Amino acid sequence: MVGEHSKVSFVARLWLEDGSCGEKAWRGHVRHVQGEEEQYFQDLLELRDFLGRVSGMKGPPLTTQPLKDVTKAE
Amino acid sequence: MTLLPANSNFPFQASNLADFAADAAFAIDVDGKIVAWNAPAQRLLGYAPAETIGRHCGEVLQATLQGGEPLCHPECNVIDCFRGCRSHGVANCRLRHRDGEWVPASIASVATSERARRLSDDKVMAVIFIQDVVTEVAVPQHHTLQLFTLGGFGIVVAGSSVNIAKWRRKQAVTLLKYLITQLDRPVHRERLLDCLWPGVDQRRGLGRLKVTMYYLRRELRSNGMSDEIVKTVGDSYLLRRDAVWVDVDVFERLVTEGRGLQEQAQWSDALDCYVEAQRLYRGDYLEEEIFSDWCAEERARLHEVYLELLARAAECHAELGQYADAIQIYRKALVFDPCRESFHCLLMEHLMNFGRPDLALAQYRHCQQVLAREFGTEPLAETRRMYQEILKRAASA
Repeated sequence: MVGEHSKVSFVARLWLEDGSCGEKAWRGHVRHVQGEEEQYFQDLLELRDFLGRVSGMKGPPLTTQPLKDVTKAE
Repeated sequence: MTLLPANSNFPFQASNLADFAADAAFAIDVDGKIVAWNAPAQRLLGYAPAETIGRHCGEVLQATLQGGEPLCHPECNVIDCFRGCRSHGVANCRLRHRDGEWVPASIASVATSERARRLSDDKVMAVIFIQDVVTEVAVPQHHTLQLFTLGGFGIVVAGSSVNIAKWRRKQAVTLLKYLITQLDRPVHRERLLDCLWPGVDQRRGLGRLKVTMYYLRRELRSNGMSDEIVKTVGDSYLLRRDAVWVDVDVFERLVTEGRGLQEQAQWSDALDCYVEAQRLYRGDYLEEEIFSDWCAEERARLHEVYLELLARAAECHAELGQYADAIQIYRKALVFDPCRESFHCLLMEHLMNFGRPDLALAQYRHCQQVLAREFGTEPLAETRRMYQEILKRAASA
Protein backbone atom coordinates (compact mmCIF):
# COMPACT_ATOMS: atom_id res chain seq x y z
CA MET A 1 0.00 0.00 0.00
CA VAL A 2 1.46 3.38 -0.95
CA GLY A 3 1.67 6.44 1.26
CA GLU A 4 -0.72 9.35 0.95
CA HIS A 5 1.63 11.70 -0.84
CA SER A 6 3.73 9.17 -2.75
CA LYS A 7 3.94 9.17 -6.49
CA VAL A 8 2.54 6.00 -7.97
CA SER A 9 3.47 4.99 -11.46
CA PHE A 10 3.81 1.81 -13.43
CA VAL A 11 5.46 0.82 -16.67
CA ALA A 12 3.82 -1.87 -18.71
CA ARG A 13 5.33 -3.53 -21.77
CA LEU A 14 3.16 -5.47 -24.16
CA TRP A 15 4.24 -7.69 -27.02
CA LEU A 16 2.55 -9.88 -29.53
CA GLU A 17 3.55 -13.54 -29.68
CA ASP A 18 3.00 -14.16 -33.34
CA GLY A 19 3.02 -17.87 -34.13
CA SER A 20 3.14 -18.67 -37.82
CA CYS A 21 0.19 -21.10 -37.45
CA GLY A 22 -2.08 -18.09 -37.00
CA GLU A 23 -2.49 -18.33 -33.24
CA LYS A 24 -1.35 -15.08 -31.67
CA ALA A 25 -1.35 -13.86 -28.10
CA TRP A 26 -0.82 -10.52 -26.45
CA ARG A 27 1.35 -10.80 -23.36
CA GLY A 28 2.71 -8.19 -21.05
CA HIS A 29 4.87 -7.29 -18.11
CA VAL A 30 4.12 -4.53 -15.61
CA ARG A 31 6.42 -3.04 -13.01
CA HIS A 32 5.68 -0.69 -10.13
CA VAL A 33 8.30 2.02 -10.63
CA GLN A 34 8.56 3.14 -7.01
CA GLY A 35 8.71 -0.40 -5.63
CA GLU A 36 9.97 -3.84 -6.55
CA GLU A 37 6.72 -5.52 -7.49
CA GLU A 38 6.36 -6.75 -11.02
CA GLN A 39 4.23 -9.28 -12.81
CA TYR A 40 3.62 -10.81 -16.18
CA PHE A 41 0.07 -10.76 -17.48
CA GLN A 42 -1.92 -12.13 -20.37
CA ASP A 43 -5.09 -10.07 -20.09
CA LEU A 44 -5.98 -6.56 -19.01
CA LEU A 45 -7.95 -7.79 -15.98
CA GLU A 46 -4.74 -9.17 -14.51
CA LEU A 47 -3.06 -5.84 -15.21
CA ARG A 48 -5.91 -3.93 -13.58
CA ASP A 49 -5.82 -6.22 -10.53
CA PHE A 50 -2.06 -5.72 -10.17
CA LEU A 51 -2.43 -1.93 -10.31
CA GLY A 52 -5.18 -2.10 -7.72
CA ARG A 53 -3.28 -4.40 -5.39
CA VAL A 54 -0.06 -2.39 -5.44
CA SER A 55 -1.59 1.08 -5.35
CA GLY A 56 -4.42 0.33 -2.96
CA MET A 57 -6.73 2.13 -5.38
CA LYS A 58 -9.15 0.44 -7.74
CA GLY A 59 -7.52 -0.05 -11.14
CA PRO A 60 -8.73 1.82 -14.25
CA PRO A 61 -12.03 0.71 -15.78
CA LEU A 62 -11.74 -1.59 -18.77
CA THR A 63 -14.81 -0.34 -20.59
CA THR A 64 -15.05 2.82 -22.65
CA GLN A 65 -16.68 5.65 -20.74
CA PRO A 66 -19.77 6.98 -22.52
CA LEU A 67 -19.35 10.53 -23.82
CA LYS A 68 -22.05 11.94 -21.52
CA ASP A 69 -19.95 10.99 -18.46
CA VAL A 70 -16.89 12.75 -19.83
CA THR A 71 -18.75 15.98 -20.48
CA LYS A 72 -20.77 15.94 -17.22
CA ALA A 73 -18.57 18.53 -15.53
CA GLU A 74 -18.88 21.00 -18.41
CA MET B 1 31.12 -23.08 -28.13
CA THR B 2 31.15 -25.67 -25.38
CA LEU B 3 28.59 -28.42 -26.03
CA LEU B 4 26.72 -30.04 -23.23
CA PRO B 5 26.94 -33.85 -23.32
CA ALA B 6 23.80 -35.56 -24.61
CA ASN B 7 22.96 -36.90 -21.16
CA SER B 8 23.48 -33.56 -19.43
CA ASN B 9 20.95 -32.47 -16.87
CA PHE B 10 18.99 -29.64 -18.49
CA PRO B 11 17.23 -27.16 -18.20
CA PHE B 12 19.62 -24.42 -19.10
CA GLN B 13 21.45 -22.80 -16.20
CA ALA B 14 22.62 -19.20 -16.17
CA SER B 15 26.24 -20.34 -15.76
CA ASN B 16 25.96 -21.74 -19.30
CA LEU B 17 25.94 -18.13 -20.49
CA ALA B 18 29.49 -17.80 -19.24
CA ASP B 19 30.41 -21.11 -20.86
CA PHE B 20 28.87 -20.18 -24.21
CA ALA B 21 29.97 -16.50 -24.32
CA ALA B 22 32.45 -15.32 -26.93
CA ASP B 23 33.61 -12.59 -24.51
CA ALA B 24 35.47 -13.21 -21.28
CA ALA B 25 32.80 -14.13 -18.73
CA PHE B 26 32.27 -15.66 -15.35
CA ALA B 27 29.35 -16.45 -13.10
CA ILE B 28 28.96 -15.77 -9.38
CA ASP B 29 26.66 -17.06 -6.65
CA VAL B 30 24.79 -15.04 -4.02
CA ASP B 31 27.97 -14.69 -1.94
CA GLY B 32 29.92 -13.28 -4.87
CA LYS B 33 31.92 -16.46 -5.27
CA ILE B 34 32.90 -17.54 -8.75
CA VAL B 35 31.11 -20.67 -9.95
CA ALA B 36 32.02 -20.59 -13.66
CA TRP B 37 34.99 -19.09 -15.53
CA ASN B 38 35.30 -19.37 -19.31
CA ALA B 39 38.25 -19.79 -21.65
CA PRO B 40 38.29 -16.15 -22.91
CA ALA B 41 38.45 -15.01 -19.26
CA GLN B 42 41.47 -17.24 -18.79
CA ARG B 43 43.12 -15.75 -21.87
CA LEU B 44 42.37 -12.19 -20.76
CA LEU B 45 43.31 -12.42 -17.09
CA GLY B 46 45.62 -15.42 -16.94
CA TYR B 47 43.69 -17.47 -14.36
CA ALA B 48 42.62 -21.04 -15.07
CA PRO B 49 39.14 -21.98 -13.83
CA ALA B 50 40.61 -24.08 -11.02
CA GLU B 51 42.35 -20.93 -9.72
CA THR B 52 39.17 -18.86 -9.58
CA ILE B 53 36.21 -21.11 -8.84
CA GLY B 54 35.22 -20.85 -5.19
CA ARG B 55 37.03 -17.53 -4.71
CA HIS B 56 35.30 -14.18 -4.25
CA CYS B 57 35.12 -12.25 -7.54
CA GLY B 58 36.61 -9.11 -6.00
CA GLU B 59 39.61 -11.05 -4.76
CA VAL B 60 40.31 -12.27 -8.31
CA LEU B 61 39.50 -9.14 -10.35
CA GLN B 62 40.83 -6.46 -7.94
CA ALA B 63 39.06 -3.96 -10.22
CA THR B 64 39.78 -0.25 -10.00
CA LEU B 65 38.71 2.83 -11.91
CA GLN B 66 41.25 4.26 -14.30
CA GLY B 67 42.37 6.70 -11.64
CA GLY B 68 43.11 3.88 -9.20
CA GLU B 69 40.04 4.09 -6.97
CA PRO B 70 39.11 0.52 -6.01
CA LEU B 71 35.88 -0.93 -7.37
CA CYS B 72 36.33 -4.25 -5.59
CA HIS B 73 36.23 -3.80 -1.81
CA PRO B 74 34.38 -5.36 1.14
CA GLU B 75 31.55 -2.80 0.97
CA CYS B 76 31.12 -3.29 -2.77
CA ASN B 77 27.54 -2.38 -3.68
CA VAL B 78 27.62 -4.30 -6.95
CA ILE B 79 26.82 -7.56 -5.14
CA ASP B 80 23.82 -5.79 -3.55
CA CYS B 81 22.71 -4.69 -7.03
CA PHE B 82 22.82 -8.30 -8.19
CA ARG B 83 20.92 -9.46 -5.11
CA GLY B 84 18.24 -6.94 -6.07
CA CYS B 85 18.21 -8.46 -9.59
CA ARG B 86 19.76 -5.31 -11.03
CA SER B 87 22.54 -5.62 -13.59
CA HIS B 88 25.61 -3.45 -13.29
CA GLY B 89 28.31 -2.26 -15.62
CA VAL B 90 31.43 -0.15 -15.63
CA ALA B 91 32.53 1.61 -18.78
CA ASN B 92 36.27 1.97 -18.17
CA CYS B 93 38.14 0.22 -15.43
CA ARG B 94 41.21 -1.90 -14.80
CA LEU B 95 41.46 -5.51 -13.76
CA ARG B 96 44.49 -7.24 -12.28
CA HIS B 97 46.04 -9.89 -14.46
CA ARG B 98 47.41 -12.98 -12.75
CA ASP B 99 50.95 -11.76 -13.43
CA GLY B 100 50.22 -8.42 -11.73
CA GLU B 101 49.75 -6.21 -14.80
CA TRP B 102 46.66 -4.04 -15.21
CA VAL B 103 44.23 -4.90 -17.98
CA PRO B 104 41.94 -2.05 -19.18
CA ALA B 105 38.41 -3.36 -19.51
CA SER B 106 34.70 -2.68 -19.50
CA ILE B 107 32.29 -4.79 -17.53
CA ALA B 108 28.66 -5.70 -18.23
CA SER B 109 26.44 -8.15 -16.44
CA VAL B 110 23.18 -10.05 -16.36
CA ALA B 111 21.53 -10.63 -12.98
CA THR B 112 19.00 -13.37 -12.25
CA SER B 113 16.06 -13.08 -9.90
CA GLU B 114 15.82 -15.06 -6.68
CA ARG B 115 12.59 -16.57 -7.93
CA ALA B 116 14.18 -17.74 -11.19
CA ARG B 117 17.07 -19.26 -9.29
CA ARG B 118 14.77 -21.08 -6.92
CA LEU B 119 12.57 -22.45 -9.69
CA SER B 120 15.43 -23.67 -11.85
CA ASP B 121 17.57 -24.73 -8.87
CA ASP B 122 20.35 -22.51 -10.14
CA LYS B 123 22.93 -21.00 -7.79
CA VAL B 124 24.10 -18.34 -10.26
CA MET B 125 23.14 -14.82 -9.15
CA ALA B 126 24.87 -12.99 -12.00
CA VAL B 127 26.97 -13.52 -15.09
CA ILE B 128 29.63 -10.90 -15.65
CA PHE B 129 31.07 -10.16 -19.10
CA ILE B 130 34.45 -8.49 -19.53
CA GLN B 131 35.51 -6.66 -22.66
CA ASP B 132 38.99 -5.61 -23.55
CA VAL B 133 38.61 -1.83 -24.07
CA VAL B 134 40.70 -1.76 -27.22
CA THR B 135 37.67 -3.26 -28.95
CA GLU B 136 35.31 -0.56 -27.65
CA VAL B 137 33.25 1.48 -30.08
CA ALA B 138 35.36 4.32 -31.47
CA VAL B 139 34.36 7.82 -30.32
CA PRO B 140 34.58 10.67 -32.80
CA GLN B 141 37.49 12.91 -31.83
CA HIS B 142 35.49 16.11 -31.45
CA HIS B 143 33.31 14.53 -28.73
CA THR B 144 35.39 14.72 -25.59
CA LEU B 145 32.55 14.14 -23.12
CA GLN B 146 31.24 10.61 -23.17
CA LEU B 147 28.12 9.73 -21.22
CA PHE B 148 27.39 6.09 -20.49
CA THR B 149 23.77 5.40 -19.62
CA LEU B 150 23.38 1.71 -20.51
CA GLY B 151 24.36 -0.10 -17.34
CA GLY B 152 26.18 1.78 -14.59
CA PHE B 153 26.19 5.51 -15.27
CA GLY B 154 29.60 6.84 -16.24
CA ILE B 155 31.21 10.02 -17.47
CA VAL B 156 34.45 9.92 -19.42
CA VAL B 157 36.34 13.05 -20.43
CA ALA B 158 39.11 12.77 -22.98
CA GLY B 159 39.37 9.04 -22.31
CA SER B 160 39.50 9.21 -18.50
CA SER B 161 36.68 8.24 -16.15
CA VAL B 162 35.29 10.99 -13.98
CA ASN B 163 34.90 9.74 -10.43
CA ILE B 164 31.33 10.86 -9.80
CA ALA B 165 31.20 8.80 -6.59
CA LYS B 166 33.35 11.54 -5.07
CA TRP B 167 31.06 14.42 -6.10
CA ARG B 168 29.79 16.12 -2.96
CA ARG B 169 26.53 17.12 -4.59
CA LYS B 170 24.94 13.83 -5.67
CA GLN B 171 21.99 15.72 -7.15
CA ALA B 172 24.36 17.12 -9.78
CA VAL B 173 24.65 13.60 -11.19
CA THR B 174 20.86 13.18 -11.15
CA LEU B 175 20.47 16.56 -12.81
CA LEU B 176 22.84 15.52 -15.58
CA LYS B 177 21.03 12.21 -16.02
CA TYR B 178 17.69 13.98 -16.33
CA LEU B 179 19.06 16.35 -18.95
CA ILE B 180 20.42 13.37 -20.89
CA THR B 181 16.89 11.94 -21.12
CA GLN B 182 15.87 15.22 -22.78
CA LEU B 183 18.98 15.62 -24.92
CA ASP B 184 18.96 18.83 -26.97
CA ARG B 185 15.55 19.82 -25.58
CA PRO B 186 15.10 22.71 -23.16
CA VAL B 187 13.87 21.50 -19.77
CA HIS B 188 12.03 24.08 -17.71
CA ARG B 189 13.47 24.56 -14.24
CA GLU B 190 10.11 23.75 -12.62
CA ARG B 191 10.26 20.31 -14.17
CA LEU B 192 13.74 19.87 -12.73
CA LEU B 193 12.52 20.99 -9.31
CA ASP B 194 9.68 18.49 -9.47
CA CYS B 195 12.12 15.72 -10.33
CA LEU B 196 14.97 16.54 -7.95
CA TRP B 197 13.24 18.23 -5.00
CA PRO B 198 9.56 17.29 -5.07
CA GLY B 199 7.58 18.94 -2.32
CA VAL B 200 10.16 21.69 -1.69
CA ASP B 201 8.82 25.24 -2.05
CA GLN B 202 9.76 27.00 -5.23
CA ARG B 203 12.04 29.66 -3.78
CA ARG B 204 14.19 27.14 -1.91
CA GLY B 205 14.07 24.72 -4.84
CA LEU B 206 15.30 27.32 -7.31
CA GLY B 207 18.15 28.15 -4.98
CA ARG B 208 19.17 24.51 -4.80
CA LEU B 209 18.88 24.14 -8.55
CA LYS B 210 21.12 27.14 -9.14
CA VAL B 211 23.78 25.80 -6.76
CA THR B 212 23.57 22.29 -8.19
CA MET B 213 23.85 23.52 -11.78
CA TYR B 214 26.83 25.68 -10.82
CA TYR B 215 28.45 22.62 -9.19
CA LEU B 216 27.79 20.42 -12.23
CA ARG B 217 29.29 22.92 -14.63
CA ARG B 218 32.27 23.43 -12.37
CA GLU B 219 32.94 19.68 -12.07
CA LEU B 220 32.75 19.25 -15.84
CA ARG B 221 35.14 22.17 -16.34
CA SER B 222 37.55 20.86 -13.73
CA ASN B 223 37.62 17.57 -15.64
CA GLY B 224 38.70 19.27 -18.82
CA MET B 225 35.46 20.31 -20.50
CA SER B 226 35.90 23.80 -21.90
CA ASP B 227 32.60 23.91 -23.81
CA GLU B 228 29.35 24.99 -22.26
CA ILE B 229 27.77 21.55 -22.30
CA VAL B 230 24.64 22.68 -20.49
CA LYS B 231 23.10 25.79 -22.00
CA THR B 232 20.73 28.13 -20.23
CA VAL B 233 17.76 28.96 -22.43
CA GLY B 234 15.50 31.43 -20.59
CA ASP B 235 14.07 29.53 -17.61
CA SER B 236 15.22 26.21 -19.04
CA TYR B 237 18.37 24.19 -19.32
CA LEU B 238 19.48 22.17 -22.31
CA LEU B 239 22.19 19.52 -22.68
CA ARG B 240 23.76 20.04 -26.11
CA ARG B 241 23.73 16.95 -28.30
CA ASP B 242 26.60 18.28 -30.42
CA ALA B 243 28.86 18.57 -27.36
CA VAL B 244 28.47 15.03 -26.02
CA TRP B 245 28.72 11.44 -27.07
CA VAL B 246 25.97 9.35 -25.51
CA ASP B 247 26.08 5.58 -25.70
CA VAL B 248 22.35 5.16 -26.19
CA ASP B 249 22.42 7.35 -29.32
CA VAL B 250 25.09 5.16 -30.85
CA PHE B 251 23.30 2.01 -29.71
CA GLU B 252 20.10 2.98 -31.51
CA ARG B 253 21.93 4.15 -34.60
CA LEU B 254 23.70 0.79 -34.85
CA VAL B 255 20.43 -1.12 -34.47
CA THR B 256 18.85 0.99 -37.21
CA GLU B 257 21.82 0.51 -39.51
CA GLY B 258 21.82 -3.21 -38.87
CA ARG B 259 18.11 -3.40 -39.59
CA GLY B 260 18.62 -1.70 -42.96
CA LEU B 261 21.47 -4.04 -43.90
CA GLN B 262 19.51 -7.08 -42.80
CA GLU B 263 16.59 -6.06 -44.99
CA GLN B 264 19.01 -6.11 -47.90
CA ALA B 265 20.13 -9.63 -46.89
CA GLN B 266 23.61 -8.35 -45.96
CA TRP B 267 23.80 -10.65 -42.97
CA SER B 268 27.48 -10.25 -42.07
CA ASP B 269 27.43 -6.47 -42.28
CA ALA B 270 24.24 -6.36 -40.25
CA LEU B 271 25.87 -8.59 -37.65
CA ASP B 272 28.81 -6.22 -37.35
CA CYS B 273 26.38 -3.48 -36.36
CA TYR B 274 24.53 -5.76 -33.94
CA VAL B 275 27.72 -6.95 -32.27
CA GLU B 276 28.82 -3.36 -31.64
CA ALA B 277 25.36 -2.48 -30.36
CA GLN B 278 25.42 -5.44 -27.97
CA ARG B 279 28.74 -4.25 -26.58
CA LEU B 280 27.17 -0.92 -25.75
CA TYR B 281 24.21 -2.45 -23.91
CA ARG B 282 26.08 -3.16 -20.68
CA GLY B 283 22.87 -3.04 -18.64
CA ASP B 284 19.52 -1.32 -18.40
CA TYR B 285 19.18 2.40 -19.11
CA LEU B 286 20.11 4.49 -16.08
CA GLU B 287 19.80 1.37 -13.98
CA GLU B 288 20.60 3.11 -10.69
CA GLU B 289 17.48 5.23 -11.15
CA ILE B 290 15.33 2.15 -10.78
CA PHE B 291 12.69 3.99 -8.66
CA SER B 292 12.59 7.17 -10.76
CA ASP B 293 9.64 7.40 -13.09
CA TRP B 294 11.22 10.04 -15.36
CA CYS B 295 13.39 7.41 -17.05
CA ALA B 296 11.26 4.29 -16.55
CA GLU B 297 9.48 4.53 -19.89
CA GLU B 298 12.71 5.01 -21.82
CA ARG B 299 14.26 2.09 -19.95
CA ALA B 300 11.35 -0.16 -20.93
CA ARG B 301 11.54 1.02 -24.55
CA LEU B 302 15.27 0.29 -24.75
CA HIS B 303 14.64 -3.10 -23.12
CA GLU B 304 12.48 -3.91 -26.13
CA VAL B 305 15.02 -2.48 -28.58
CA TYR B 306 17.67 -4.69 -27.02
CA LEU B 307 15.47 -7.77 -27.36
CA GLU B 308 14.78 -6.85 -30.98
CA LEU B 309 18.53 -6.49 -31.50
CA LEU B 310 19.21 -9.94 -30.06
CA ALA B 311 16.46 -11.50 -32.19
CA ARG B 312 17.85 -9.87 -35.33
CA ALA B 313 21.41 -10.89 -34.53
CA ALA B 314 20.27 -14.48 -34.03
CA GLU B 315 18.38 -14.37 -37.36
CA CYS B 316 21.54 -13.19 -39.14
CA HIS B 317 23.60 -15.96 -37.59
CA ALA B 318 20.97 -18.50 -38.64
CA GLU B 319 20.97 -17.15 -42.21
CA LEU B 320 24.73 -17.68 -42.26
CA GLY B 321 24.32 -21.22 -40.90
CA GLN B 322 25.97 -20.19 -37.62
CA TYR B 323 23.56 -22.09 -35.41
CA ALA B 324 25.85 -22.21 -32.39
CA ASP B 325 25.99 -18.41 -32.32
CA ALA B 326 22.23 -18.15 -32.86
CA ILE B 327 21.70 -20.52 -29.93
CA GLN B 328 23.99 -18.48 -27.70
CA ILE B 329 22.09 -15.30 -28.48
CA TYR B 330 18.64 -16.77 -27.90
CA ARG B 331 19.86 -18.09 -24.54
CA LYS B 332 21.17 -14.64 -23.67
CA ALA B 333 17.80 -13.16 -24.67
CA LEU B 334 15.91 -15.63 -22.50
CA VAL B 335 18.03 -14.82 -19.45
CA PHE B 336 17.20 -11.19 -20.11
CA ASP B 337 13.47 -11.89 -20.57
CA PRO B 338 12.48 -15.50 -19.87
CA CYS B 339 8.87 -15.20 -21.07
CA ARG B 340 9.37 -14.58 -24.78
CA GLU B 341 7.81 -17.68 -26.24
CA SER B 342 9.00 -16.90 -29.75
CA PHE B 343 12.60 -17.07 -28.50
CA HIS B 344 11.98 -20.44 -26.86
CA CYS B 345 10.47 -21.71 -30.11
CA LEU B 346 13.33 -20.44 -32.28
CA LEU B 347 15.89 -21.78 -29.84
CA MET B 348 14.26 -25.19 -30.09
CA GLU B 349 14.46 -25.00 -33.87
CA HIS B 350 18.13 -24.10 -33.88
CA LEU B 351 19.03 -26.71 -31.29
CA MET B 352 17.39 -29.23 -33.60
CA ASN B 353 19.35 -27.86 -36.58
CA PHE B 354 22.49 -28.08 -34.48
CA GLY B 355 21.87 -31.79 -33.98
CA ARG B 356 20.75 -31.57 -30.35
CA PRO B 357 17.12 -32.74 -30.23
CA ASP B 358 17.59 -33.66 -26.55
CA LEU B 359 18.31 -30.03 -25.68
CA ALA B 360 15.48 -28.85 -27.94
CA LEU B 361 12.98 -31.07 -26.12
CA ALA B 362 14.31 -29.92 -22.74
CA GLN B 363 13.91 -26.33 -23.91
CA TYR B 364 10.24 -26.99 -24.69
CA ARG B 365 9.67 -28.35 -21.18
CA HIS B 366 11.38 -25.29 -19.74
CA CYS B 367 9.18 -23.04 -21.90
CA GLN B 368 6.09 -24.88 -20.68
CA GLN B 369 7.10 -24.38 -17.05
CA VAL B 370 7.80 -20.68 -17.50
CA LEU B 371 4.51 -19.98 -19.31
CA ALA B 372 2.52 -21.99 -16.78
CA ARG B 373 4.14 -20.17 -13.89
CA GLU B 374 3.93 -16.62 -15.25
CA PHE B 375 0.80 -16.67 -17.40
CA GLY B 376 -1.04 -19.83 -16.32
CA THR B 377 -1.11 -20.92 -19.94
CA GLU B 378 0.20 -23.57 -22.31
CA PRO B 379 2.56 -22.77 -25.20
CA LEU B 380 1.00 -21.57 -28.44
CA ALA B 381 0.14 -23.98 -31.25
CA GLU B 382 3.30 -23.09 -33.19
CA THR B 383 5.52 -24.06 -30.25
CA ARG B 384 3.57 -27.26 -29.63
CA ARG B 385 3.84 -28.10 -33.34
CA MET B 386 7.63 -27.55 -33.19
CA TYR B 387 7.79 -29.87 -30.18
CA GLN B 388 5.88 -32.63 -32.01
CA GLU B 389 8.14 -32.20 -35.03
CA ILE B 390 11.26 -32.55 -32.89
CA LEU B 391 9.85 -35.64 -31.17
CA LYS B 392 9.16 -37.23 -34.55
CA ARG B 393 12.62 -36.43 -35.92
CA ALA B 394 14.32 -37.55 -32.72
CA ALA B 395 12.41 -40.85 -32.81
CA SER B 396 13.32 -41.53 -36.43
CA ALA B 397 17.01 -40.69 -35.93
